[in-house]
Amino acid sequence: MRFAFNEEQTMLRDMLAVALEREAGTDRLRQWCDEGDFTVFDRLVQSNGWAGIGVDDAAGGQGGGLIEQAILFEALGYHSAPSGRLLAQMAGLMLAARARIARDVLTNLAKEECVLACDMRRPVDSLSGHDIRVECGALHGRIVSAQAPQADQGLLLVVPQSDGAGLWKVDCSAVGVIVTPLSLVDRASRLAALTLEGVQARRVGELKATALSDVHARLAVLLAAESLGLARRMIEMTVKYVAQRVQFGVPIGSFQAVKHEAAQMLVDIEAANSGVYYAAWALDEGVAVGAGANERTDALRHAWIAKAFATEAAARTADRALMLHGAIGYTFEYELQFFFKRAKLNVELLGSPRLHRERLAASLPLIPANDTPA
Amino acid sequence: MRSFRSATRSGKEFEHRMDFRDAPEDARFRADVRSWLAREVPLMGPMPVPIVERAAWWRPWQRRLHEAGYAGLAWPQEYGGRGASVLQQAIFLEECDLAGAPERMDVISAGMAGPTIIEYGTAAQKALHLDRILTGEHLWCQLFSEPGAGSDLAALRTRAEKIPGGWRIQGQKIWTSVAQVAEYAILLARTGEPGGRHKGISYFLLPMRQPGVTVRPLRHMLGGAEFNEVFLDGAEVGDDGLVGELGAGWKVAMSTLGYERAALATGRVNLFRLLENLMALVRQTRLEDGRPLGEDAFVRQRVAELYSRMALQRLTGKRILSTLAEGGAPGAEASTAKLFTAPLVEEVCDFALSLIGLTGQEDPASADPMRARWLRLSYQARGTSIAGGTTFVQRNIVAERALGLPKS
Repeated sequence: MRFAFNEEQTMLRDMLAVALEREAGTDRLRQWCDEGDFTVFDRLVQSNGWAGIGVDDAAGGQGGGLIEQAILFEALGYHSAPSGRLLAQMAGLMLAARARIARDVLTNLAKEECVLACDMRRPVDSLSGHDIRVECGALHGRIVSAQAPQADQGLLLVVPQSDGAGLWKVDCSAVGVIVTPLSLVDRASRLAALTLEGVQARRVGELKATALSDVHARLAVLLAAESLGLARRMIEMTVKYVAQRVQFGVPIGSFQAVKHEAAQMLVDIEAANSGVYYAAWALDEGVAVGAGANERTDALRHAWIAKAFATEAAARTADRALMLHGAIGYTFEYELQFFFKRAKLNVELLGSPRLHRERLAASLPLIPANDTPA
Repeated sequence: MRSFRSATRSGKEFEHRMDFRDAPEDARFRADVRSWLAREVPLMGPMPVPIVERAAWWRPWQRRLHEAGYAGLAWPQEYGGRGASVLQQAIFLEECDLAGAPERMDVISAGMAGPTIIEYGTAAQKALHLDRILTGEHLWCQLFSEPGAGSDLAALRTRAEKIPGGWRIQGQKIWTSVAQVAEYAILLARTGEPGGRHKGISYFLLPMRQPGVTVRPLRHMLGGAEFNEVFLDGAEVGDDGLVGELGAGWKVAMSTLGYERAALATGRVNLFRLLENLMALVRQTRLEDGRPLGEDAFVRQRVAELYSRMALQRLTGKRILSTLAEGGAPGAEASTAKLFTAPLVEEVCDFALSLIGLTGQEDPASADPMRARWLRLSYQARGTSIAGGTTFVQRNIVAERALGLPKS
């Protein structure tokens, strides 16, 4: 048994830290948010090929798996980077790779940097209440809060069908695609309402329900990893602040009331860390071909646990960070706001903690065997 | 950074991949342990609650463990241990939990006193004590805490006066677990100036069965006697009972407390089983309208939340083990482990008791065994939060050592 990064993973982590510190520091983030223009960041993502982390070398990726992707998202969270579009792109790649799909189509999808358009309020694998329908080969309907695509980007959509779901592709620039940006408190999160009015679309592949639940679990782990990164940054900012802020003639970090809150931040962070990286490992190993049903259940459970716990832990950490900073932390000028807002947002993305805990509960033996659930 | 992989491409990366499965030799060890426990555990009757009876019941079990080569797993082979890897020690504990094996009574003997003697003891001390610890012939207790020296151990006042051939001890100790049945104690006493704080403390191996030692059981909140006051009124220990340098006992004590933390971190409470029991309780209980309790949305959320934290606690345990197995010192995750685990145990027990309702508050002596067990555990969990450094002390330690915040 070994629960630690290998040399390569450590190197990836360090390289990401350097690149993001240099190219996507808080001053730049503030500028991007003020201008509402994240092109520089999107270009950074593409030029580094970050969407290819966790994608096979043979398919043009950088190799590695979900652990490497989680390392990426932890680093993005540490910088509160505008990561949503990258998540949607990786989600599209994950779904396409699990779809019954022609090889050349798959290669093209990866090349075109398509993004998944799904309702970020709901789990990817929840097909009920889905609002997109096919009429005469054209797509109609509305996705209330998708990741906002670039004007020329290809969009992938999951549309339920009698057996599983179809994977459909439309061009964002096609007639009938209406993108209405949502205004969020976290200005670095770019969500948009997507309305499709008879948009010409192509069904590029077919998806089984297990592929959808696998991809949902993976995205849940990546959001959990991002929240872990947010929390790490917030505890770091807080510890630095309370060690130098002097009141009553001493650093406030020497007060036990302050120390105890800071310690509890670390308790949450360490538990989240264990959960995120185990879930990442388990999804790569436990859902792999040949693994049994037990391994699959174990992996999915841990993904749900990681999503619910790590996002809530980061949200708690945000509140503790704010209290320990005092009034300065509550200002627009101070940088805590970026991390605070994202931490609160991630709790709700792709399904709430309540939803993920209910999934976990449904997988546990809580009802006597002779009773059928209501 | 088009590819992060090229720079370290070698065969090595594959040897060091993250992996939660047992290596082949560990899988074999697990299988052996499992079949041994499957044979031996059913031979043990139910565990008696009073400690004197429990010790009498436990000693033969420890002898069988010793005969089978499972005593002193962590100890080096030259001292009669197995020299098992950290991972195999953990596997053994996991399997004991799964099989419902008797709880250890030798946490202090084999987990703290033994390793300290191995590290600091003389050849004679090793010869006298180590084997008897492994066979369960000798149980040990820990005479550290005093009425005025709890979290602040360096305030201890018990004195050791030099007499020909040894030392005479005068003082009082408190919160001493298993003292009623212990043959020996690890003892801290002052040999230097009074009030000398960390200086002038010496570390002794004290025989407990002698006239100068009086053990008075202290009843805990539920009325049971699990820890004690120990009065040392002219108790004697020979020169050969001193461990380490005279007056340098603090260093030895810190080493012992390090072993204590390791013993506690590797899990005394079997949380997995606790959650299984909680889920069984949910299955047995019905709502007011006759539906299964497990259909209630609040109950489902709460169980899932507790289950999640149990799962995370186990994973953090694995992280700590993984670091130890590679010869490293665990980092922040080890300091936070107690702060994560202790409230979790309390909450699981309290939630179970809330499902049982008022009957869950019946005196455990008269309640049915299932209810009594939840009640005892719920109280015991409070004890755990206090023992080995209270929650507040632990938070100070985490803030100062792991986060580097200034001393108060």
